[in-house]
Amino acid sequence: MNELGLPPTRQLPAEVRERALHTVLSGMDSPQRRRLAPLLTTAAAVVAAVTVTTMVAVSAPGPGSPGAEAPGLEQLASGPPVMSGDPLTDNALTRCADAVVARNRTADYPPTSDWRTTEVLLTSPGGDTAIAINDRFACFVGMSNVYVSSTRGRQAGPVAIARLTPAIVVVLNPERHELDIVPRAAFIDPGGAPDAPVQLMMLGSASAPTSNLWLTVPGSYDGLMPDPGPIGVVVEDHRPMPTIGATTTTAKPPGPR
Amino acid sequence: MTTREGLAGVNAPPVDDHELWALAQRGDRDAFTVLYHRHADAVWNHAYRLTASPTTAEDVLAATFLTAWRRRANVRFVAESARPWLLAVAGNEARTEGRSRARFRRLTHRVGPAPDVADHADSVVTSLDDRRRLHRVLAAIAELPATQREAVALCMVAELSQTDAAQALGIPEATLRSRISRARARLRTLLPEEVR
Repeated sequence: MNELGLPPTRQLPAEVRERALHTVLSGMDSPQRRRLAPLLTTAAAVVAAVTVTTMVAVSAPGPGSPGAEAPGLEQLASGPPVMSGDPLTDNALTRCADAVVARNRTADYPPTSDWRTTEVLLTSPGGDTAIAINDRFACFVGMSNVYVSSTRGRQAGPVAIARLTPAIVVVLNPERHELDIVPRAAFIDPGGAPDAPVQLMMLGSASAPTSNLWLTVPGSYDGLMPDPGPIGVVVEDHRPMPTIGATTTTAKPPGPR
Repeated sequence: MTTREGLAGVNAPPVDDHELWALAQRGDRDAFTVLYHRHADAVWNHAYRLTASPTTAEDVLAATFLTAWRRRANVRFVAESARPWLLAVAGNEARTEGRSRARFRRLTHRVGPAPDVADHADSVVTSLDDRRRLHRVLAAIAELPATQREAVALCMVAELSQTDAAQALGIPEATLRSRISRARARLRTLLPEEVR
């Protein structure tokens, strides 16, 4: 027993040692990814329940149609984004770039050829994916819609608040300040580092206001969260999702636990 | 690659953490694997004590070394060993895990109960008394301010020296001692049986 009465240290079980190392080695080349499929399933359900009337359809063929495998990258004025090699992430990034091009909003974002996935914020078993792009903005790719947040949002001291989907708000925190938001019960925070450059907040419902949330960035901002404003870009996109691969940064190899 | 290959697998002479880290910074996964095996026990034990869950501790162990790998280009540790820094990273990862799991519990409370799945690893790792004690200690530590929590995690949970802990946290030793002192006083009121 030590000073706190904690039990003595134990030897790390060999199978745990090997399993964790396997996870590390298999995750070394992947972008950071979080394990919050259940949360995203709920968030995706909230998003799907909302009818967005300002959508613009991407002229993409359906699965099985001629040309279905071509994601439309030739449309991109500045070229395709930087691929990571992860099919799910790359599919999402491509569709996010397509969405911005389809809405003719390329002037509001960095050149698409510079886009790269800097973090996978959420994934769901159905393939819904939220990614951070260039640590500057976020994109959510669902079964039928693609949402891209603005890169600026509404300023709150050194951070900015932007709407990603009707029910998801992102905090853009390029200088990586540690921040806090209360009351936590008002939203579902998928977790992650409190100083991450792009953080998701899943509101409890699509119409939930953010004006009752208190944002604190120590030494910089201490006040009500500003309204995140409108979603940056929304398009309807029914292209099929790739199947989620078995390798995530935290996936366990097969075998008994 | 099998997990014990690399520098350790070819009977290379022991090298210190700085040398291994320098190799890892150049992308040498074998060197990083040696570091992993050298510190995995300590990181896992620390994670277990901070989370009271063997399953979560395993996740924290993997997340800690993944974070280390991803940040290797920007990290230069000043202690003799990488362990203090790794334990500090593990503390952050454990906190993140705890937050995520707490929110998941709140969410599942809203949407209804999940199937009751037993954590098989729990049964083989520790006794019920140990876990009860651990939960009690963790609840008390959670009452402390963040800066004191970090100090307590490294000095009183991981049992690092104050010098190593101060270096890992990037603060003067005097500051660390002050935080520990205040934390100890508070913990005495919260855990009168454990902290004397």
